[in-house]
Amino acid sequence: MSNYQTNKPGDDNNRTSDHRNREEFEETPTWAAVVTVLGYAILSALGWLRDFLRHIGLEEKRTAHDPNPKDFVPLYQSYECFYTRNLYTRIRDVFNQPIASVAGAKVHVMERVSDDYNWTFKFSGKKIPSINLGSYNYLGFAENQGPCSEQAIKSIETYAVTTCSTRHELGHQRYVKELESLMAEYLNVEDCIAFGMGFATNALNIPTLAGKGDLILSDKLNHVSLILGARLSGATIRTFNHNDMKDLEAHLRKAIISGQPRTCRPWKKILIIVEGVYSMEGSLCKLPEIIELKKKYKAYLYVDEAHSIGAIGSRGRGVVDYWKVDPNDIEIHMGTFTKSFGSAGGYIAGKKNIIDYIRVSSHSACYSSSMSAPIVQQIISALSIIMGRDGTNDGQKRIQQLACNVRYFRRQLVDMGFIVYGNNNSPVVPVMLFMPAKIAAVNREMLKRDCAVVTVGFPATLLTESRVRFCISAGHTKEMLDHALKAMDEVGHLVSLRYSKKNPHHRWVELDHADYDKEYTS
Amino acid sequence: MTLNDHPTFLRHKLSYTYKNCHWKTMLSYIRRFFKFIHWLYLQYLLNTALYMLEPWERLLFSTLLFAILSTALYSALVFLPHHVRSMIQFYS
Repeated sequence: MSNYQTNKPGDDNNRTSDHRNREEFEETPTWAAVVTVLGYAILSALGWLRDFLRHIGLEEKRTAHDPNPKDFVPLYQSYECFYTRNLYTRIRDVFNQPIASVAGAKVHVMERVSDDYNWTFKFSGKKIPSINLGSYNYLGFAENQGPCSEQAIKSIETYAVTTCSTRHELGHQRYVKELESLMAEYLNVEDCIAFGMGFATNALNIPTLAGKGDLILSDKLNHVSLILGARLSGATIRTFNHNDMKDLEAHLRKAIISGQPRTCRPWKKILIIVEGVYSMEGSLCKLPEIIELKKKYKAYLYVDEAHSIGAIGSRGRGVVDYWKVDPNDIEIHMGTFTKSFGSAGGYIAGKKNIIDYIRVSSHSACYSSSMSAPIVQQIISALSIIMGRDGTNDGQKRIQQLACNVRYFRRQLVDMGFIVYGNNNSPVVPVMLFMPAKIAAVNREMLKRDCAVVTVGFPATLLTESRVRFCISAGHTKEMLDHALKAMDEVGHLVSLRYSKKNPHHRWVELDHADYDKEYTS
Repeated sequence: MTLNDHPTFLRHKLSYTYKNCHWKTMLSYIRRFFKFIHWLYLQYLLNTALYMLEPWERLLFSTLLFAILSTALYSALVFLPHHVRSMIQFYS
């Protein structure tokens, strides 16, 4: 029942099966899958009943309706609307919750009340101060005080807020040049180019790199921006199973042997697109094996390090640093500044000739606004702190704090008996819920205990695999993590989330805390 | 809800000293029992996805489920002994 390739030691002699890099995707228990599907069946049946009542007029219609007469092609796709009306709206209060403070390690969530079962909301005026376990604030740079924000404010005085121009016209400013050279040094590559939006970096630059006559091999669980970019490029797209190297090799061999679909000509190039850390599963890509395959079959590699740059690796340089591979082996390094650097934007880095080509022919460089000064200054300050250029070792401390936090949090959750997906070192911690009602229950109960979490269901995940996703930050102290773990323990008992068959179930009071403290302070 | 309020029907039992009054311990046991029933009701609501539904929908589904289960139970109680007896007769 599991779609994922579990890493077992002894699989191959490679370092990816080392016990420290273990990735666990425990299988869904059968009874949980059956109960989940039954739950969705009950919700669908009652949804049909409500739709029927709305149709005959016993209940008022509260969604937008199609103004066209019956013979016209329908304006809205029917299952998505059914899902939104009858399943999503019932628990809408746990999604898109407005906040009232900076989303650092702690956040103020605004409380909303609803009289008519989540069709309309009213603010009660109360702000709930809670521990923020949902922001991608891996190194804790999302703060409104401190050296980064002071320098960003000063940069507004020097450079003003925006250039009102694209990169090719008047947007090529001194601060962007500084950012690009600093980033290239950070990643140990030749050159780098920065863009204003992380999603657009993928979606608008993959068409520059690949086109008709090329083959793109992308992982099944890649992010929407990569899929969109691949589709826009016009190349042929084939997907391989998540982190499955045998499947990737089979696809490569088939592609090289058979060539393009109708003409059987050889492919102009083959581009493999993977992500560093997958944000819904918390798994890392197996970079050494992919590089070996790429060299054997002469393909190109594009690694999207949106969640892993700054957060993974002993010096925070991403998956390249974590697996200790040569950065020159990867053709395109891509990443975003939104997650670990507390800013906005994306970058692409690699050899100078590729980056020069992208500078000239990217849609983003020609048509979208250049990055504005305070945003770039925030990244430059964060980078200097991480690299140690500001004279303190604050950056290295943050990276180590994050690694400790992640190990501590994950180990306790696993020992309590929850099903936790992903690699032991990834700061994204998904805990499985499976049933739709638990999505709402866990979110509300955690908020009552002052923890703001993100719970996700269909369509961001598979239908039967809803989860609660914790994002650990270097800004979390041990007390905050303990509070969150205690809350999770209580909620896990209340909502019965302990599904694991491999690990025995424990309550928080039964765990030996001296053992964990040693691991935390090491 | 603090940790101590949860029903501890699985593991450690709190030890009460003999000095405590008997009706106070009785009361706490009754409270724990009601909390356990509430927990069971919450599991029923969560596993059947009734937690997300409005009260009248919960009533409708629960009534339907109760009707089906009670009919099945009644039929079993009335017809099963006769069926089992005739099966034994047929095979012996």
